[in-house]
Amino acid sequence: MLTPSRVKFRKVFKGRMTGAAKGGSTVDFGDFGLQATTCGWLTSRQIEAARVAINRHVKRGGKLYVRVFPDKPVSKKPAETRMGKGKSGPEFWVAVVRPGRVIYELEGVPEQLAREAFHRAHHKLPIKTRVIKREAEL
Amino acid sequence: MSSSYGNLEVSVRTPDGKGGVRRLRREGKFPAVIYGHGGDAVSIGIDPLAYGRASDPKMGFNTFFQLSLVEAGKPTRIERCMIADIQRDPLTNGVIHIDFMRVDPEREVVRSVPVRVTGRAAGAVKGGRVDVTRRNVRVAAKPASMPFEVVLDVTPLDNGESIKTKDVKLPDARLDEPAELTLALCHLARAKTEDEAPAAGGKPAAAAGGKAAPAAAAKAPAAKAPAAKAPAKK
Repeated sequence: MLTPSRVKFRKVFKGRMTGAAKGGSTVDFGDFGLQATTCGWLTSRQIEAARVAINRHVKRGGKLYVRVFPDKPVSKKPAETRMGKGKSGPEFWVAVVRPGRVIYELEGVPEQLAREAFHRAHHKLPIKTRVIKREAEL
Repeated sequence: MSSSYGNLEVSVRTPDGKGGVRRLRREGKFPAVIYGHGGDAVSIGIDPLAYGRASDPKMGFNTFFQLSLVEAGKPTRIERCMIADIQRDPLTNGVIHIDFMRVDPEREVVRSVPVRVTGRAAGAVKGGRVDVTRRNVRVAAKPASMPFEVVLDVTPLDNGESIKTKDVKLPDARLDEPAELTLALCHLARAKTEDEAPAAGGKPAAAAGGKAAPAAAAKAPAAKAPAAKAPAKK
């Protein structure tokens, strides 16, 4: 699973997910991409599960690019704990995804196979997505 | 290029600035600017539907536009230009803003043109694979004779052979890339192919034909495992 090796601050605020993706919204590495159309937090487990789903479907063909990284720690209070007494420790890591962000890219596979693979990956993610193709360059 | 593409009527945007742009967007249009070639920058507004009709789907961003500028309801002049930059909405993919660069129809311009590969390489038939190193290449041509794609026919390529920039000939255009730049290369995908065949239960057909390979691999899974890891070790 993806986790940062070292962070400057252990705990961070929740933050807000308003607006669209600031960058990373075009297919830059592969031929096809899975683009988020809603916002959400992708946990490292979800990112990994979707990655495995794509790789299993395309078997050994093609190359997969993961374009998000879970760098935001999320803390969670233990079960049966009274409220208060400060913020708990980090439990898992998430990537903040805003609409428009390309999450995965595939290269070297036919379009139909890429669409099927991304469809399987979509079921592992907590957000709505769509498949996009590489556009012409300027 | 078909004559119907590229002709676009645009309105000169006055007043310029934030307020003018917002008013334009409320009308359903998007802002754009024309600059370059020693002339002044002109702010314009474009109807997205008209832009869609004028944009050549084959040429894409390399469409040669002839913008007819309308000022106060009257057509004033024609600007010949090509797209220098385009901003799109990340979600709807709708155009937010376009930069048009003036071009001289008689002078070469350098643009990025997609590469398309055709044919099956002779080396690929023998078990090799073709790698295309560039998705796009820079092409220098007059705006009207800009090719919409660069076709690489890889059929004569044998293993170890490649297509370089100097091998590509284009009508009324040239590649603006280093002459020795490799565009497509045919090579043996896995150097172990010949060694694997005897190991997979003495079936030489496994190396030559793609269909026989899974059967051979299924019979000898132990032999397949190291072969699968081999490329990763490199």
